Amino acid sequence: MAAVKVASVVLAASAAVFAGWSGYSWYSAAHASSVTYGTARDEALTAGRTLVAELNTLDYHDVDGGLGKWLAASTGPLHDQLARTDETTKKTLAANATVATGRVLDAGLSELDEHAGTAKLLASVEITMAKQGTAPAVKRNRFAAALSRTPEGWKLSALDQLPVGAR
Amino acid sequence: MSRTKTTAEGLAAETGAVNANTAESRPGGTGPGASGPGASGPGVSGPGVSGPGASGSGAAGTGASRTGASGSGAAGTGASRTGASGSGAIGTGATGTRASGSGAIESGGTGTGASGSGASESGTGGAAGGPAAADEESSSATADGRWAVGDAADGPPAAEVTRATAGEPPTEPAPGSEAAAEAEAAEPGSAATLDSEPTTTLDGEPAEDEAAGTGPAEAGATPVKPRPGRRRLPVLLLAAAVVLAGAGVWFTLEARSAAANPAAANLALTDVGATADVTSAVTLAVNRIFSYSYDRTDVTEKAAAAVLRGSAKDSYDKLFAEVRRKAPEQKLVLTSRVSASAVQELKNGHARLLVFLDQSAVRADNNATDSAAAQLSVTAEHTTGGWVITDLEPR
Repeated sequence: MAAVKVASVVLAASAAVFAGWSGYSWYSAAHASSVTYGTARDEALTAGRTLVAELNTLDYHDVDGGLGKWLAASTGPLHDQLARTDETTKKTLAANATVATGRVLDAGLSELDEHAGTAKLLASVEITMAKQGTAPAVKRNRFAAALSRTPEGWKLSALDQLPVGAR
Repeated sequence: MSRTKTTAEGLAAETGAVNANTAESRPGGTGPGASGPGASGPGVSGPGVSGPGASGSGAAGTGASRTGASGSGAAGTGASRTGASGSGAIGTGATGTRASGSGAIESGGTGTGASGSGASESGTGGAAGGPAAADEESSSATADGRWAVGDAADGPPAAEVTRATAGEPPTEPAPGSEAAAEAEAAEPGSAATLDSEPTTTLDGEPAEDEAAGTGPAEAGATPVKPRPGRRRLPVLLLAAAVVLAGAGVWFTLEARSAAANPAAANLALTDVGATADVTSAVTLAVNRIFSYSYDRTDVTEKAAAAVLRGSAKDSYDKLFAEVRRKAPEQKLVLTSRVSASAVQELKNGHARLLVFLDQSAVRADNNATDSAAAQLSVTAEHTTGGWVITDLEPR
């Protein structure tokens, strides 16, 4: 009886140790920097692709709505700059009668500072400019974007076109 | 900064005016310019973020938070319920099914929480397994939970459970006896629960409706004196060991799936050294293979032979055959420079990069110059001799 008791105590204790150890390894695996940093990287990239496409998209039918989307997609200096868009520019945009649609063909993060919540993104964007009465024009642009993490998620704080010799 | 302005103005401006820096074709036949006209490809969607590890911890968190919200099942019900769920947990853990919201799995957490890791996890059982189990946890001490688990795993009917709980050592704190009383008072209700229990819990259906039936029993709880039952100790310990081992297996599987998270497996940027390594290797290679002088095309060709493999080599060779033919008559010198690059994927010696290339061409016969911007998607493999490029695709 005593032997059975001891054996069961030992079994239970070793099972507890196993459970404790495996629980710890689960915890550490789930909180490893490669997981958290990698997740932040993938989130920033996914958000960045969407935002860059948004900032290359504008329908002249709804310039104010489009600018609103641009403002919602941006933060910091880029947001300030877009917020200063004056009436003349808006009128020009509306008068241009063009529907621009941006599509990110490929993108990658070149930098990520998870602590500061900043990232740099490279994107190849295809912009289709559709104007009534003319064949849509398709062009490709290269962009370098700066991303900042805000309480509402990643936002663009800069979006620079990269022509030849930009760097 | 001013570039975005450029975008806005560009959109405002005439359609054609913004077109200055695209990767479109240029005159002069600059040879293997990376930017082929019309070479559009589908956008690459980002890798999925959600991992099984995340869902696992989510389940635990939910369980814990729901502890307080659980209803009012009697202890007897709770005991049998926990027992049934406990054994369910073992099976579940062993087979490696991850948290799917079924009571059985959640109860695995219950067993562990009750016997070792902390009372908060007991709530997990209550969350999905059924309010009764959670109630048992809240009304009696942690140890009681364990006792009850072992006993119910043993397979006695509700009445047995009552006796077992009552039969705990005299040192047992008051909640234990209270639980026993509750069990007795709730017997009719818990018997009914027991009947339906295995199916409902394992099916993962919420057991809230049952809780309503057993709920009132708690009100009639009165203290009952504990009876001796030390013989059961080994059995209970063994049951606890089985539950703990099951939980351990589950945790181990979760740890593995967390480590296999695609976000973690991709070392781009997370492994700074490896990222810099592949970046510099690809930058050097691309600079060399896309730069040539009409009188020394063999130098470029040798460089290409060293760093290109597979489909990248095939398409490059085709392009370069033309360069060899045309460059001398035009006295063409092409210089390519990687202006920016980003590692998108890096794992198991396999890498994918987005590379921005600036190219400038000079025709020595008439001194005409031309420049172009190009975007390349580069796939590279690590071999014993270093990184080699296996695929090149204009973007």
